[in-house]
Amino acid sequence: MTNVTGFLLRTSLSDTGTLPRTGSWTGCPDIIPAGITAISRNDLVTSYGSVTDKTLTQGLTNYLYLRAKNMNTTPLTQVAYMFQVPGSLVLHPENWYNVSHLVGFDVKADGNHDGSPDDPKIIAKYAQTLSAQPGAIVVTEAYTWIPDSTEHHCLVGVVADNWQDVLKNFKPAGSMDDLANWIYGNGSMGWHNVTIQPLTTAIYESQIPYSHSSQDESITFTIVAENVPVGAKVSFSSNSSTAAGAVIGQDWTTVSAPPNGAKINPDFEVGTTLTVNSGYKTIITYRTDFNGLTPPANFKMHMKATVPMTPTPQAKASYAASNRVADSFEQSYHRSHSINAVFHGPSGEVIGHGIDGYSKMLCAAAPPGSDDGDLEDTVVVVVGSHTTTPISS
Amino acid sequence: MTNNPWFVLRSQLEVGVPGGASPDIILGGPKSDPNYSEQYDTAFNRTGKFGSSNFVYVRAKNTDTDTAPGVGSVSVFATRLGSLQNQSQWVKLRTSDGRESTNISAGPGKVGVNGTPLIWEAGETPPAEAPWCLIAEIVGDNHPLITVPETVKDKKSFDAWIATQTRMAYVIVQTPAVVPVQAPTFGWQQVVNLANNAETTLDISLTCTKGTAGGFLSYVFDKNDSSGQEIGVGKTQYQINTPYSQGRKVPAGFNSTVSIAYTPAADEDAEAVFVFQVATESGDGDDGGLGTTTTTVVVNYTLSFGQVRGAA
Repeated sequence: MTNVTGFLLRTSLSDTGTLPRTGSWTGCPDIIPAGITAISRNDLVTSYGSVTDKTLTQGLTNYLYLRAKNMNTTPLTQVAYMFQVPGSLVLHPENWYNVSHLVGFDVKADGNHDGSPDDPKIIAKYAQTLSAQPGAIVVTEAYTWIPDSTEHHCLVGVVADNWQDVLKNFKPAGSMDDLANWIYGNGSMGWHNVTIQPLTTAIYESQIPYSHSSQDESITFTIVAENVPVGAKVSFSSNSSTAAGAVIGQDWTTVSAPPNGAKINPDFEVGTTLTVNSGYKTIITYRTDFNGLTPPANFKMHMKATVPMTPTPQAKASYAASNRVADSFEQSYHRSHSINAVFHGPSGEVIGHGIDGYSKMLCAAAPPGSDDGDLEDTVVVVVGSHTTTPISS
Repeated sequence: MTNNPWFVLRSQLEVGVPGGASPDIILGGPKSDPNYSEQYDTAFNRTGKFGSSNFVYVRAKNTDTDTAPGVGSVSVFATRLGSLQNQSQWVKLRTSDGRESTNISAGPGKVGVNGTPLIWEAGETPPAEAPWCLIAEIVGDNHPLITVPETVKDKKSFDAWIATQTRMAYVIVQTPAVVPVQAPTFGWQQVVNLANNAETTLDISLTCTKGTAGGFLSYVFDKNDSSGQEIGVGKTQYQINTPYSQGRKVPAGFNSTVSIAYTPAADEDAEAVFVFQVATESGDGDDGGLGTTTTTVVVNYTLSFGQVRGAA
């Protein structure tokens, strides 16, 4: 028996790189189907001891990663490829290396482009370079794949100097056993069967490139959905990690009603703030899932990135929660009953200030006949300025 | 469709009930209940458990007069109400060991129920207008798979068509009654006076930076934007460190009172710290991709809301 001396893609979590491998080979934990939500590189490195295996969705951009461990005693740099293989081509690796089966990762095309099919702003590349110190675990940026059917597929990953070197060890016109032996004998290859689910609701998806050329900055990325039904969901993900290993992403967030309670929200915006390093480039995929509801004709969505260019002014009102945690009942009592505290009734009307208002508020909030005017066991802690007002629900 | 008597699935228990009320698709527990077959004219649970596993049982009466027991294969599909007519969008349920169907058997004139449930992993509670549906189908020798005809274009035509099927039926999964949460709401108001000389674009955000899970935030200005549209975010269950924002153009001299509210998930100990910011947009370095808009923060408040329950 020998040991893997290159990058290792395990056949299972118990695979330590001893060749030939044995056992199950169709669930490589280092080929990571993440579904339609990106995963940060940091998280994928730290989760080396567990399996992430999300269902893919037909017709949407799905994120896929390769994770590899350098088993060599010296630093290593090689090329990573991923293939999506339908059942009919499982025994024909000689046909995998083409644009129909290579899984690409999206990058912004150089120069100016109009975004038409003949002149796309975003193009796919296929080879990603992985470099690692001895014993280190590294992860690719996200490959993206939009399955056009729910047909069973396999994902195959390889990290090598080149694909042809790997392929020459395959026995053409072989059997499934030959295929398994090829995987068993090549520690830099992995195989992962995936499940693809159909779309059961209308989801609109778009992509936009983002690049950050200035210094490291805190940026807020926001998805803006206009005229979106309440109950729909929005999300976005980037296909690459920042230097700190984080991805730009907002998990599915349900669209709430606007303040007036309408069923269509004219402007729903939700975002995330993170530090972006100089030179960072990515492709952001953003979506609206109508969650079974009908998309309005005037629906629109887009992404926004904002950065504060002036120092944020000091907070004009700052009330530390930690102080309240350590608050004494006496202090709370006195603050609650300060003449500056304004209390509102169930309908929002002002019903009094200080202890008088507090007492009236308790009476107003209680069911008829249930309150005898005594202080009950609920303490309402009023925190803030004179305009901080407990309002009855 | 075959006219041979065999397993029959009913569309409803009573005449006149709208489509999607089959009593023969049951959301039960991990093990089958003998009452399902013994109480054939009783409708059992149709309410889904969202966010967890649901165990789906299908019962059917064998109307064959043959002396041999009938044996069929049961499949169940999940789809949204709006996709009933799109058979390609139905998601096939599986058993706990990964099978896409399970057997059903019953003697002549008897009622059978699949012993191994099909499992439906229901996500979050759907909007009321777009509930989930479960569709059951029984196939067997001389009883092939059923294809929804192309003439079926919507729920109405689907209901009309499926009412003619004896081996396929569906149920609209009910959502649990919402238990009202009696929680107080804490509010705060502040005047935002921009003193701007010309129309300007605002970026307004409210972010919970620390808080008890499950709480809700909202804010609203008492003046509208330049287009006359209300500025604000309705009651929204927050995620920590997630800005809930509005980007709006406002007229010169914008002077408005903003009201911010926090509602804990329940009337229990709760605290939440919010950062409320208003910024003016001042440029967009657009290069064909996502440009970074520069902003100037003009209003910044940190607010802490909450309540602590005292000892009884």
